[in-house]
Amino acid sequence: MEITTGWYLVLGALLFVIGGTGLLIRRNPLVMLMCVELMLNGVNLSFVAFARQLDDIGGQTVVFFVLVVAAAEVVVGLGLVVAILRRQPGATADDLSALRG
Amino acid sequence: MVELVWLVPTLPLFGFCLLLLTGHLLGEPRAGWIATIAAGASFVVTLVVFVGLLGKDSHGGERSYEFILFEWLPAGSLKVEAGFLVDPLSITMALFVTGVGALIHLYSIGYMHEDPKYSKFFLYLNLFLFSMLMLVFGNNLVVTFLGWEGVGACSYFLISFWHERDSAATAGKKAFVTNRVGDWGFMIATFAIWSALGTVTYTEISHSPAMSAATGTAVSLLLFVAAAGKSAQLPLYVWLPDAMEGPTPVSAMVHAATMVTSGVYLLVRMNSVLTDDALLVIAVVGGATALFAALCAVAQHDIKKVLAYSTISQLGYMFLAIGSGAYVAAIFHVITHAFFKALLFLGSGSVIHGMHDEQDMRKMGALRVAMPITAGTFIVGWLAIAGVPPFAGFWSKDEILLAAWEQKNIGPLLWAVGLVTALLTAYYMSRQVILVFFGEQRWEEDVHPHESAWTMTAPLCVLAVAAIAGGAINLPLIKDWLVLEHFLEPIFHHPHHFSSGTATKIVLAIISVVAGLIGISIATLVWLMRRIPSDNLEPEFLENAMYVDSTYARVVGGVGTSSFQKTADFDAEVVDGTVNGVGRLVTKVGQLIQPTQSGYMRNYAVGVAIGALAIVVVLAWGLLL
Amino acid sequence: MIVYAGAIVVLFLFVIMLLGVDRAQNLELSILPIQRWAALVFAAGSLVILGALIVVVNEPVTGAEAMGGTASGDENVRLLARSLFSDHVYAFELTSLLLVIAVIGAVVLARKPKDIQSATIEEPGNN
Repeated sequence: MEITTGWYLVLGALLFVIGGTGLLIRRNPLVMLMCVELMLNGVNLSFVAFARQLDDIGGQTVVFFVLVVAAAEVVVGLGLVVAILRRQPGATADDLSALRG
Repeated sequence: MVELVWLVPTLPLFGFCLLLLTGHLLGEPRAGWIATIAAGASFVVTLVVFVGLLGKDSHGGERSYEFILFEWLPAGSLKVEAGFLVDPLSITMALFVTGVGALIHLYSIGYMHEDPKYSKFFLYLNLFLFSMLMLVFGNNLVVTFLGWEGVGACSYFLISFWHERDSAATAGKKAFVTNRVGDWGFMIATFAIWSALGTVTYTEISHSPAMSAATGTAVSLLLFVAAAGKSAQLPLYVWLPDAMEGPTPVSAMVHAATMVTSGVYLLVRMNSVLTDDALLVIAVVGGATALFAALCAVAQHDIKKVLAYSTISQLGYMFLAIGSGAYVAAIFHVITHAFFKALLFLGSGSVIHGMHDEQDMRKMGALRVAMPITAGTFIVGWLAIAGVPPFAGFWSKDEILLAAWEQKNIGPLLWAVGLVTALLTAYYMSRQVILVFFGEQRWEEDVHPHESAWTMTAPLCVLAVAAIAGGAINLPLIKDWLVLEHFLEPIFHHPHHFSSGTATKIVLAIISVVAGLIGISIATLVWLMRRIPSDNLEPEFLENAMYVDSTYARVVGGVGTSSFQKTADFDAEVVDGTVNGVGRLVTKVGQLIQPTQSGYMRNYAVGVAIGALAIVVVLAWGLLL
Repeated sequence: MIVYAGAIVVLFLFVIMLLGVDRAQNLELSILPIQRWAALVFAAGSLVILGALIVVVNEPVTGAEAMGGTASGDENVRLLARSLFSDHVYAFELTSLLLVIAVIGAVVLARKPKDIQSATIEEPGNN
């Protein structure tokens, strides 16, 4: 059984979907951030798979940049999460509902 | 000089505005004099315009002048201007409207003495004069309609002038509502004319090709409905007798000399549109109205009601003339009628004033001693309306009877109706004169009748002269003396020529004079000399105007009101309900959608996710298939 | 890869240990019941679509040109570096700037809040 690009793509899709579902279901901000990371990495995997299949270095360049931005985002995001959870240990994403109509 | 025509309606409008703003400050009698001067100046300008118009035709040019103020309603292919048309017909109407109007303004100064709403009366009179002049001078149907509505509104204001009296307020409403039926006819006719001919301007209408017979008859009949409303013909005459609730100068001006003739003017103006079938209907209705009103007038006790029914009857004569094709005869009668009817009304006003607001003729009598000038002028008016030569009424009425005789379908029948009406007219007018001015005095002890002030008697004298000499404008004896007919000739495409021989004309004239004399003598026998008892001659049936009015009231109040109510309910429930229902539907839908705005970020994230998914599906659809 | 495993995941671990987030979420307390079903729809739908696309589509869709060859092994890094520093140098510099901003932001966020009193006293010329 040969492992073709398709397998990697499937794995990437799985990662993405699991991350997305987790993002929609979980309430804890830290967990949500981790789910976002999952999604990003699923996409990264797809890019790399395509870069390999299509013989294009552009895919890997994109991954490079995605990783950098993800890192920066995680840094700031975690800083925020720490700041919020320090004040209010039980805070969830559902606490902000002032804009309801 | 013809260009000054714009001044003619503007002067009374200016008087109206001035009195509106400063009327109660000016007070009595200055407000009255301002209004009278405005009306008099308007008459003078009309004379100037008349002379200017006469000069226009000197070398075969067209005797008409159109003066456009501005473009009023440019809407696609419909072009309505605010314009004046000065031609023989409009200048003739304007001359007697402003002339008689100015005299009545002068009369009102004395009549409305010590009335608390003195200045208000004059501003309404000026507004009325303005509207009437717009009606007459308008160069298209829409400007005429503006004046038409204006005179209707002023008639309402003036009839219910003493609105503290319930009967006056009701009479005003009745006049307005009945007129509205006529206005409906006017509007539909205007729309139909525009849709058939593409224009509403008079000069273009008279030069347009004829409409199809059906359209033409429909339009003519609709115009006649409008005229019947305004000029009080069957069945829309019911407002006129009630309109006597207004002050007598109003009855003279609006309901005798001017407003009620606007229907006649409209039909004469639109003569190129009227079809023969419609003309027959008009003649029949006119004749029937004339006879009906004359019968009702025989049994009235109120001095003004007699004159009201007499007006309806004389208007019937005018429509009879139009229906027989003799438009000039109709206009001639309009003019002479304006003179003698205004004279009679003003005279009756003088009597009422002198008798301290007593209007029942049974309480008058032998007033010629106490009020000689009033009596003298009233008698002149009486002779004119009775058709006694050489007074003005004889010539115009005779011309109408001749035209009726020559009407091609039922000429002799119409002539007979006209003749009987003439007899009745002579009878009831003589009855009125005798009851009021002759016989024994029947008034109470504390009433001291006196002659009226010069502001009231002077117009009476002027009108009396006009009633005597007015026939001179269209004497049929010699062709050159038919001044009015020649003057009005450019208006008509098919000028009417009398086809009877001179012998027939003379015989018919003699018969009508004899009929008039018979009427006068019957009245003298019954009322003056008491040779014949008068009990059977005033049946209640006629006194209540054949119960037409009360029948209307019962129908409209009974069946009518319930159907009106149903229409109103339909409007409120179905029409309004639909509109409101749309609003309610929107609110409901909004309420249904409201849960999506939960304020929770995760919900919105779900929306984003599923939306993105949908977009991917759409984009990938082509690839997958 | 090293960046990721070494830095970011470790960072996550630090925060989790700091905040003690380990209790499972109480699913019954969900305020929005529709959320779970919508997430399910999303999951199923996405899997289906993506799976279908992966299976069905065999040739390139957009037809864009390759940016540079991919060789395996050492060549890879060189090509990557070449691509980064020539074609995408602007983006590269911007990302470095972004990282600096992120660091500064994190430092600011993580500070314990001072009292307001001490902030005003430190202003010069205020006595």
